[in-house]
Amino acid sequence: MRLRYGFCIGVLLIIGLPGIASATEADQRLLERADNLVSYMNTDFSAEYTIVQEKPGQSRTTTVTAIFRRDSQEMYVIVVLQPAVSKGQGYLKQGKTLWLYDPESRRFNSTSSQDRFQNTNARNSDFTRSTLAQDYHVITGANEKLGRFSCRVLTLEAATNEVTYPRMKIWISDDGLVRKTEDYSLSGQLLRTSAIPDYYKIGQRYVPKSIRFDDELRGAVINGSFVKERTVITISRPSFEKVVDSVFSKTFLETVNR
Amino acid sequence: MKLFQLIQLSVKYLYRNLRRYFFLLLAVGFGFCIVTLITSLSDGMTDSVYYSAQAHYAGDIMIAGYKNATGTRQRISETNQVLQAISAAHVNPAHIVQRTIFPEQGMLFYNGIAVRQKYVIGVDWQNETEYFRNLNWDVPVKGNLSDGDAIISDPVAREFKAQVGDQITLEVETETGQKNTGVFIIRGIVKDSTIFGYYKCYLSRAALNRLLLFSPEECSIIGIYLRSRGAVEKAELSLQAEMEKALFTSPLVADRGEFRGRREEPWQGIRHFVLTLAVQLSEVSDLLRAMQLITYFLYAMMLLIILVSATVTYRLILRERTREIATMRAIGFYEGDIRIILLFEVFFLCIIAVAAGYAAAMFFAWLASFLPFDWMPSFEIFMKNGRLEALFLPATVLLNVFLVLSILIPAVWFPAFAVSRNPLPEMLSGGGRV
Repeated sequence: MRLRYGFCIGVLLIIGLPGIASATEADQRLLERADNLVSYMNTDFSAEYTIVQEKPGQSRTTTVTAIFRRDSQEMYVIVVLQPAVSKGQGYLKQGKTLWLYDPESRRFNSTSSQDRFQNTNARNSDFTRSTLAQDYHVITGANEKLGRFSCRVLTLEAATNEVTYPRMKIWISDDGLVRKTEDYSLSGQLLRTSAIPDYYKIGQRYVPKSIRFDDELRGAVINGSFVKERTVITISRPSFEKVVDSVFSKTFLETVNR
Repeated sequence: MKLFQLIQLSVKYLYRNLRRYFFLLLAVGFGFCIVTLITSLSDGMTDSVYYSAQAHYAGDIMIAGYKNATGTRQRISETNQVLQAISAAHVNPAHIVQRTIFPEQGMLFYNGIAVRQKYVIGVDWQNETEYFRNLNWDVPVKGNLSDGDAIISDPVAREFKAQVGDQITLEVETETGQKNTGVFIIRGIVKDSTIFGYYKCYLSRAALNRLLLFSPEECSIIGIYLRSRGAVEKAELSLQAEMEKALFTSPLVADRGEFRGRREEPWQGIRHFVLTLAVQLSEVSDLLRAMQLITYFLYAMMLLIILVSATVTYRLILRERTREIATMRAIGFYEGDIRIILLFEVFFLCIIAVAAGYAAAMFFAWLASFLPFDWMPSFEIFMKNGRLEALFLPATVLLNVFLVLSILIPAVWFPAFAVSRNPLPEMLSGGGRV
């Protein structure tokens, strides 16, 4: 009797393990593909990002920024165009260093990629290229329907201890594009949910049309129910034209609004 | 025997001339009251700063471990070695505490409201029972505290509109920047509006260690409460010597500026610092120095007023008593006897004035404790449990008595000396020098 059980388990292991391994490998490749579709290693990228922050019970705030990305060199520049009070503020990312420029004091302060962007639910790291396959291992994968999309849902665990969210769940649609993510803390608490319902297709490249971030911890109780704080980023005027080198410099941020 | 009789006579004359001495009694008593009030409030304020700082920094001397790359974050991994060094230093501690501290970036959430905490402090509940007993509570803790419990400050509770029993979420970041969260139950709310306590919450050290990915033995600082404040300097030196033998330890620092400088130096691993409260408080020392300068100025002014008013009043009294003194001389009192009687009169007057002044100072200090100082920015640091508290240190009070006497005696000695030496006929006719 015991032998029979042992045999069955052995057979299951022999049949099942490579299947699980190959599924994980395929999922890891899927993750790489998802990264590649929204990373622009051969060209520069620029666009206008309109960031609308909704705090329940308070008025909406809108921030308009111009963003310039050079993924091949891990650089980006963000210039705040609106509101007037923040106009001229800018971010310069050079490798792992992120500078924040304040036009009032005319000073650059180093800031963290993990910090909230302009006090919204987006983080400074949300504006850089996607490196999910580098930063995370796929733990499990399953198929799931997400609205009109047939998705592969991957559970990810951080490969390094330097990423903000140690655990993630990610929904990748059949076309290889990320449609939804859930960011978790080390203890497994859901901290943030993001959704990307639509993308622009420009040549072989994809650019999100809008990204919605729901903060799972911040919000307010209105009429007895919890309403989450939300940030919606709408991306317009995407371009893959070459951006002049001088844009990726401190001098650019100092002079852009003079 | 003669001296005793002269002293008895001086008491008798003081009683008889009490109406004449009344203004002098009032002047000296008021002066002593003000001087005592100034010094006791000043001592009380200094003590409040020290008390708050001692509670906040966990002791009179603390050993902190810093990893260079993590800025303000503290970590001691070799806890046992540090404890052995403390034991070897023979500092005779009254109490030793271990705390894990997460500064600046801790975020508390309740019903969607987020409040950044200046300090999230992990403590050993059992070991710090005495500390928590002495806190000023808005809602005190009932029963024993466990790993899932939290104590928050009154301003945070008000911002959350939260009560004891409510569930809060704490978000922290590990050393490498990973988010971690824990859910805690509010078990107590403390009133602490000093700069050390506005946005502050307490958890169990074990729980905070888990969130920060510290091992259970690790901590951020080890605080040492000494039996006497006077022992700090000696204890600091012997602790430093033992720490240098046991672990990688920075040289002693004199103030926060030097401390910052040392922390900017490059190093590998965990570097330990032996820090006294004087170092931690060096940034508020300017404030304390300004307060002391004002105190000294007021003190000097008050002593000057006592000197002038005593001199003037006493000369007037002696002028009125010229005939009486002349009669005493005429019936056989020596000049020296008269001087002794006059001096003892003032001495006993001074004792009455000091006692009355002390009682009045205590009364005014009690009244001052009800004064609101909310309008004065940063003044909370000088208050204990939200009230101005006077501290009547015996040494300071005795020094004040000595100073008042040392001003008063010369102020009366010279007129007493002059009046006793006047020619008798001149005095009997109501004249003579005073």
